[in-house]
Amino acid sequence: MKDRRSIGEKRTRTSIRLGRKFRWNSLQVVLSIVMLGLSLTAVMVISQLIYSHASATINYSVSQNNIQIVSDVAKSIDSYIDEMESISDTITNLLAKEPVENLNRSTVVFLRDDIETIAVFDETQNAVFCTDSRTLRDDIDLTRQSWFTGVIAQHSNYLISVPHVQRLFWGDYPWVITLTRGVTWKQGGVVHNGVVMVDMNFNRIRDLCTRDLENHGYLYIMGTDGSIIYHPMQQMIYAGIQPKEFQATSHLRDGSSQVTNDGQKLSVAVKTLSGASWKVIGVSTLQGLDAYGNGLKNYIMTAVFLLSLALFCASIVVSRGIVSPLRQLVFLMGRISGNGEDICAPEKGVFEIRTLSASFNRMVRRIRQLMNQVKEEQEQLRRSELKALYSQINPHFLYNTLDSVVWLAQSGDQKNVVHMVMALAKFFRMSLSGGRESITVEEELQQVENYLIIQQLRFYNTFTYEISCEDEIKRAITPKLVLQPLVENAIVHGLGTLGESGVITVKAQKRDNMLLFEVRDNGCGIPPEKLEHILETSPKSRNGFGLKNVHERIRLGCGPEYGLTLESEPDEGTTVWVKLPLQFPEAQKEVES
Amino acid sequence: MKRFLILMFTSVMIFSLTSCNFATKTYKIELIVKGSSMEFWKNLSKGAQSAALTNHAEIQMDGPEEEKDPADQLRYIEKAIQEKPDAIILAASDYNRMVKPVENAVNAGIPVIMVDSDVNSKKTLAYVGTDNIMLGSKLAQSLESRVKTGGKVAVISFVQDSYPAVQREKGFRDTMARYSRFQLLKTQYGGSDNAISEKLTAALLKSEPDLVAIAALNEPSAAGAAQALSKSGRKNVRVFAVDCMPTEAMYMEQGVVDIALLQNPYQMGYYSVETAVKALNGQRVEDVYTDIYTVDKSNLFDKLYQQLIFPFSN
Repeated sequence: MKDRRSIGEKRTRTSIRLGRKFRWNSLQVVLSIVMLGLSLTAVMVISQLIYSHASATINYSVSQNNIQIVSDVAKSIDSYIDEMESISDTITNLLAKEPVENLNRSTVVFLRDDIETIAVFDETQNAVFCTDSRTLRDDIDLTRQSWFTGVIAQHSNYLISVPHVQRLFWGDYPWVITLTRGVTWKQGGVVHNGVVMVDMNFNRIRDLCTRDLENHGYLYIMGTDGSIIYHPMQQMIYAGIQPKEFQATSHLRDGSSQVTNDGQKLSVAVKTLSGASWKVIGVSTLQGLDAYGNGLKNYIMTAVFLLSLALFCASIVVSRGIVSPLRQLVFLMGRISGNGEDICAPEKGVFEIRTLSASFNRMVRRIRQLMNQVKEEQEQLRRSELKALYSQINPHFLYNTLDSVVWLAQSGDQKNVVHMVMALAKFFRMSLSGGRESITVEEELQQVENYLIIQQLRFYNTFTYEISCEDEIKRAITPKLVLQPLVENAIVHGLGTLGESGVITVKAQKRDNMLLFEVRDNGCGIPPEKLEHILETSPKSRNGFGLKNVHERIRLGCGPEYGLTLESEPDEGTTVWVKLPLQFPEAQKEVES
Repeated sequence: MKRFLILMFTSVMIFSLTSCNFATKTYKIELIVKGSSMEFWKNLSKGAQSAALTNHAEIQMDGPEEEKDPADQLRYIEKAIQEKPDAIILAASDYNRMVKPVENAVNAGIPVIMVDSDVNSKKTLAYVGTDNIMLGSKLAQSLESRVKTGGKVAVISFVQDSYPAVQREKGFRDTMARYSRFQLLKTQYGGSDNAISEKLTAALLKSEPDLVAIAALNEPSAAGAAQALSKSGRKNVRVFAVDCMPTEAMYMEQGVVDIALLQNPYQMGYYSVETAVKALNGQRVEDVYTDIYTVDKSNLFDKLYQQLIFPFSN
């Protein structure tokens, strides 16, 4: 018994270890990885989607902002040029109405910071009017200057020059944009065709244009012939370094457009001035969210990382929540096969797992119930078999014995009649033995002796018998009616044909801590083919019913390692050994309690 | 199942890798000039700023206000080393004395690009600026072609040990040596100062009646020389200048200054930053020689030159 338990424990421990060992294909790992993978993908996809959407929105607002600024700048330059034009118009009108000399008196009105010089030249390049009190340089050839030559023939059209260095006075070299228009006036009856010139300080235009667009954007103004009017890197362009995006943006039409230059996406807003036919062009890089620097990106990356970490932990916890009751079930399942301990799976976790645990518990209970039932039924069966056996022995034996008593009485052998009836009485009393199933070895041997006495008398002392018992096992316990069928068998089948030389030996001894009965006869023996099958359970064979009965009773009651062993030699005799557990009344009581 | 897991894992990995394309880094570059108040260096700085805009860099200009004392620059270099910029662009005020501080910077792990004025060290990455020997040589050639008579030629330089001054003079003298009708006078150093140069020139004009030309090796020298010459009223002497600013332009219009060789400080600033960024990005860099233009009265107001001569007033 001890050995069996230890084997069971070992198996249990192994199953625990297998349950805890890390396995790639275990449900928990698979669940964790799948959950982690799916949720990570989801997080990535969502953050990427949000990122690109936000970028697109920001880019859109950058473009909108650009076109707004460009329109603003275009509008203010337009109105600025309008003002200049109206100044030139005013002078033209004044010249038409009043003599040139009167002009000087009205000029105060025109003095502004952003106007360098206003002057009127006649066709001979003489300045008839100038707002500046300094003397004009006399070495300048106006016919070599485009603002002068461009306008004289065309009269009232406005001409706006590109920014240039003006040099009307010695040592003064301002950057100006010159607006000119033709003018006609009469002086002393002579009609003069001249030019009104307004020099706008270029710094004013630069101020108007110095607007920061988003993402380090800037705006520039391009003249009709593709020349640069204003550019934040104007000096660089004149110095021979052209910005990379200049080519990509200079040809675009009015409105907002996107171009890619040097791998950079640019938002370009273009607006053509109404007056000067200049184009105001705003350029901004489209960086989306990157415009906000690495901070936001790092923030998002950190958030994604932390989220992933949380998801990782969550996936482990959740999968453990699902898997651990299952694992417990697996473990308990392994123990069922061990032995019939009380097994009960905790009913917790998700619904399915709980149902599974409950079913498992129900199954275990049912199995236990069935096992108990089977045990009980087996017990009952054994009992009924025993009873059947007793009742089988008794009437037959009683009939025969009574028959013998009748014969003895008829022959007048009074002494033997008494002897036999007494033995019979003892035999039956012992058979009853107060309803107990187990009796002592001594009692069992007495019982057999009584039986042998009766049989001896019946068969007229045709055989002799010997009964011996080791002293220390006399008090040992044995199932009752174990030996009687064996002796009966020996008498009927073994000695039946033998004459007076038949001997039956019954021995009780202790062997290997077991109780061993030996029933030997020197009869005809059992043929080997019969011997082989004599203990097998076959309901059809009537032969050896007694032996088989005893054998099964012992095995049922004491265990499969106990029972009968037969040895037979034809014409030599048969020996039957009965192996039984060595038990004493005290020990049995202890076990029962 | 296993293959599916591996597939999913790799796809997630690739996805997360592609989503972290970090924005390019902005380099901090320290620009140390010789005289931060001078127009030339302001223009150079503008060029540098323009390059910074398109090259993901941030420029901080620093340096002594005036060019007079070369030692002034030392502490600006030391300060820059302390601030640990990604690179230093330096116009060395002295060819030899700046070697140590430059090498200190290089040893501190800060690459140094030289602009306009080189330094006597092999540890710098590149030189961006005018080829000053060629500039001197060109100055001599135009002088020779425009002054048909022979005579004495004065040389007004600026700072004695400034490398561009040395090289321009070398180029000038080497080429002049070929023309035997001229005699070169001893070089005068005006310290990049109008007034000093003017005084020196005035003295020369008095002491040298045979003077036919003055070679002024930078803008203050030329302006000072032109001023002195204009005041003296001598018509038989002409100034041949390097660089030109409005004052000098006026004298050119009046015929006092014959020609001016223009350097392009915008290009210097621009290409020095571009070179620095290239080097920081691990690309190979080489010396860059910027353009030299010859300007006289006739083309003074050409679009290209007027920008170099007349900077926008701010």
